[in-house]
Amino acid sequence: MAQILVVDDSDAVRSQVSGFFTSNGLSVITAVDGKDGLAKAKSNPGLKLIFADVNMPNMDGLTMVEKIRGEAGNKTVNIIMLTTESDASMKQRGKAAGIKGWIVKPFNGAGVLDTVKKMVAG
Amino acid sequence: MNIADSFIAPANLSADKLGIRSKVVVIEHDKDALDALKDFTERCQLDGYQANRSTVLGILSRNVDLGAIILSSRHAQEHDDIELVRAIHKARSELPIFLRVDSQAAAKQLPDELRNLVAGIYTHGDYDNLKSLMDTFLFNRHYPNEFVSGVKEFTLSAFQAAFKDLIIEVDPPYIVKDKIIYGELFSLLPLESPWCRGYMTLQAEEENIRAAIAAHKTQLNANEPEFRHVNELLSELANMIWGGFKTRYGAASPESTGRVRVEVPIIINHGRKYISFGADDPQLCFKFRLTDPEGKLKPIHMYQKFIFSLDWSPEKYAEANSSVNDLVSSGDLELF
Repeated sequence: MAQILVVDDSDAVRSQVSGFFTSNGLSVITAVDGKDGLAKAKSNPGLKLIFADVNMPNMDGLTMVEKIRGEAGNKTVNIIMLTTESDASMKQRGKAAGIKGWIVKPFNGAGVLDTVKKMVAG
Repeated sequence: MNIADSFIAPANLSADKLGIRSKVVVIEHDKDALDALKDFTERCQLDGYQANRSTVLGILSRNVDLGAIILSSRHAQEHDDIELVRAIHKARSELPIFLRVDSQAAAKQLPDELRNLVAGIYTHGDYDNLKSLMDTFLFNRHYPNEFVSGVKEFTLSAFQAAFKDLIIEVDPPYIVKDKIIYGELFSLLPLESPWCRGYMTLQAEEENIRAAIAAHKTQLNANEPEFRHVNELLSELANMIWGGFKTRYGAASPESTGRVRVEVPIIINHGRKYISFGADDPQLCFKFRLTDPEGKLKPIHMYQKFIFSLDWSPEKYAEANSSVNDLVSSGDLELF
């Protein structure tokens, strides 16, 4: 059963993030945009953590988070935004939707591994 | 670069060196004047490349990122002068041409057509005038040092995130006036902050990047990469640079700018590999070079250009910059 969902329209980022966590013994699935991410979050209720980009085609990451919390009714999955955005108002919107953290790209796996393992175990 | 006969070695590649330079093509038949130009280019942050009348058009067609052309008149063959200037102007009308004449009297006798095609006229010995012409037509936009070093910093960081196990170097930044596209592909991204507005391009050749992807020197997992993988890599690289720009210089909003937005059409001519943003302002350019320490891959060259054709108010730079005092380090997890 997948533990982590990585949602990013960039193949490079999906490969980098999923490759890093897979090589550290975690189970990862990926989605190519917010719409795909929402569908996979719904069909994988056992997910422990979602990494999501903000700027994506079809559905942006923050809208996806709001729909996961609202429409899908999943109030427990941990969500971390992984994005080039650092705008305070966007972070505020994410906080209001219940995200747990924010990472400004580029991704530094080693720096977040301990936190991720705790979230996945919790 | 294919420019022949560089007579001034390009500035050393120290990443700490911030002096903005520019490349000029020099066509000078007089030895004394040529020697004086060598001193001049050194003093004025110019990299001079010597050409002659028969090679200059070939050089222009093969090279990108030029700033200006310095040409000496051969008064005895005035018709040749006009033909050459006309041909240069036709090939690269965006490049200012500075014409050396023998005397002020000779300058007054130049035909109107020649006078209209060149940006300025100077004489041997009057290099203050040439400097003034350079400042007017080439260095007429001041890019703050902090801005230039900031751009270099977050761009290098993006390169380091996108590529693995490659040596990444950057030349000193330089000013270009030409509008020629390098390589087969480029990304084009609008940039906007409270004090500037324009575009960034990343221009590259496909083959060497594809080889780097196949050799697992990037974050992409593709054993047989095709052009779409190269597009993907360039796109993500541009995306990270865009993020760095917004983080460091702040995003623009109607409240922060208080100005009417204007748009200018961008003209792209595929056949001639030409792009115009509607303005002739000097463009800030960086050239990055990625090399394989094992020497198995051909080097990747990437050109980054900044074209602030829609707004440029560097006097507001300090204000905008100081307001961005709580930068979040990229890669760090900020827990809520």
